[in-house]
Amino acid sequence: MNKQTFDIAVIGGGVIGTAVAYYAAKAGRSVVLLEKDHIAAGTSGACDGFIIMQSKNPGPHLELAMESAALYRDLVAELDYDIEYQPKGGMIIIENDTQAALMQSHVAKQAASGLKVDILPIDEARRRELALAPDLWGATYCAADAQVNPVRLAQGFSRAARRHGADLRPGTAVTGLIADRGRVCGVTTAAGDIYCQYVVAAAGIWTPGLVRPLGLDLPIKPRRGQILVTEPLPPTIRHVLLCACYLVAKYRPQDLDPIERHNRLGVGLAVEQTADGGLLIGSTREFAGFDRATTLAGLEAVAAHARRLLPALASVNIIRSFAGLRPYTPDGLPVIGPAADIPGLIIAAGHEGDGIALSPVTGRRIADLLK
Amino acid sequence: MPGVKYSGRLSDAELAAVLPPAERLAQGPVAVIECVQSIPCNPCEKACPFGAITVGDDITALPALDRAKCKGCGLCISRCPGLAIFVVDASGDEATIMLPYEYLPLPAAGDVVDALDRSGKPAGTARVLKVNTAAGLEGTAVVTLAVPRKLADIVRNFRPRGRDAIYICRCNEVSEAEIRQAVREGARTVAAVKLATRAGMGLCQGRTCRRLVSRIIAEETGQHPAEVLPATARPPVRTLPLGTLAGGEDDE
Repeated sequence: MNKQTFDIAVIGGGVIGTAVAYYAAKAGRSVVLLEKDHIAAGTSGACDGFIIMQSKNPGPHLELAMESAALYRDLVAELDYDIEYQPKGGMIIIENDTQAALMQSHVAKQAASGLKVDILPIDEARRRELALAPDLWGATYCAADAQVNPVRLAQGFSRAARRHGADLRPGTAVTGLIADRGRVCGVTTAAGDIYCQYVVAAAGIWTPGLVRPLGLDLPIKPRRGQILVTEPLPPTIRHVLLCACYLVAKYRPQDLDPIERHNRLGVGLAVEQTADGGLLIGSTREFAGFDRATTLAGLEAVAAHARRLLPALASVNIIRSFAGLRPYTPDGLPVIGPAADIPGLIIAAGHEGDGIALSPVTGRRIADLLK
Repeated sequence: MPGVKYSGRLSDAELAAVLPPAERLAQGPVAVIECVQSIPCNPCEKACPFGAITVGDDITALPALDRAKCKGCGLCISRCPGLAIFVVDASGDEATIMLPYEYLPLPAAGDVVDALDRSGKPAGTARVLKVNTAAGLEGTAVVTLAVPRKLADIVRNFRPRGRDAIYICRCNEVSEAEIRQAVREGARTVAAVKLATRAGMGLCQGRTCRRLVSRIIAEETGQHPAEVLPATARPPVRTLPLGTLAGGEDDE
């Protein structure tokens, strides 16, 4: 019979849940991680690997990201597992004067928060990133941006958590939360009830469904991102690349022309070259419920946008596509911390496109909270 | 042909026609051209610098080897698209066999491997003497094996030892051992194995390996292969250039 009492039960085997399990187990807590499918089966296995600082809004968002960036530098050694961490720097591509104005004000605020971001005219940007189209305005550059393999990150966290004594249970769906006189003290599963001091709900887009029976209404909903994968290529894209319209779509959606196809689908370019040489080219940002299918319209829009900003990619072969469901929140910030009015329940979800970047700091902060 | 059962290997009568006599084998290396199909093909004829191989004007004729002219240089081995040519030397205490080899990873000189007969069954132990990967061989390595003399006419292939050496996903070079390890660590579906090992994420998108992966999962978990959940198939069905997918419509 498995042991069924723990300090902490973590629900969700994505990058957030495995990070919480790792930092909590490392701090000496007894931890069980419950995952309905397998490690990184959901959003963490269907996304890009951006650890990008310069896309974050100055304030708590950027502070969390910078704390996370510092943790990443330690994790590479701590996890003893190749997470394909590459501190390659990032660029945000600027197409026109309107975007340049937004980026200039963004960069000035970031400088005040201690993040150094340069604005490069197109000639200088193209010297650093050869594939950029010559008729663009330019790009920003931030040396603090990096990239990781999200699947290997979740695997690295979970393996290291196990070394620190965590009990990992893939294939174990949580069917309900157990509450005693208003305090959450365990979870129910097909393999029996599990009791604990704290339940950490780190199930991304599935978190609202878990906590709704307790009367907690989390404003997290799935937002689909469709991504193209290319054949392995020789070194082609040197940085992690975003386009400024990603930031416009994220922070100032009212500025977008709703008639343009790529705006309707929320397309903002996100390109990285993975360790095996393939490019990941994303992404749409659509509300499509829990549907993880790719669509021709979405993939076409991503491809067309990529071709416009990076014309050299037109001849590159696409071998696959996939879609992931990002846990969107209305204010663009994750929900991290104890649930108000429900003692024993901790939430760590709603990171949308920042889950990879923010997973170490989320895990670390939750573990510190439960010391 | 009606009444003929194709086994994929030479019959005893066909072998008798192509194997060199014992006295020639004892004199030093000689080519053994195990080609019995009258297909239009003649690269071996041009490959031989000594004029020992003749196909002739009728390109579907079988190659004829003049064993007196053959020096056993082996230049014809990698030229044969059917991988049907070997060079055998039974003049010493042990026999050596040069054979074409198109699997990865390549062995290294000094490796001890399982020698296989023409049907792929283990026939004994062989030592790798040499692995020739010269550019002129166009990707077909020529491996020289040392085998006991009595196996000179038997051994025509080999298998590296250790299951680590068997690749299931060729695109991403994922071995059988890695896939079994992933299943033992909890991957129960083709998608889970894919995520854990990258098997099936390469250029062919799993067309080569997905059945093998299903079978390994089934073996490890005691399921029937049909019960193992397949990975989700997503477009494109075959690779296509990004510009083609983008279509004529620019997104301006």
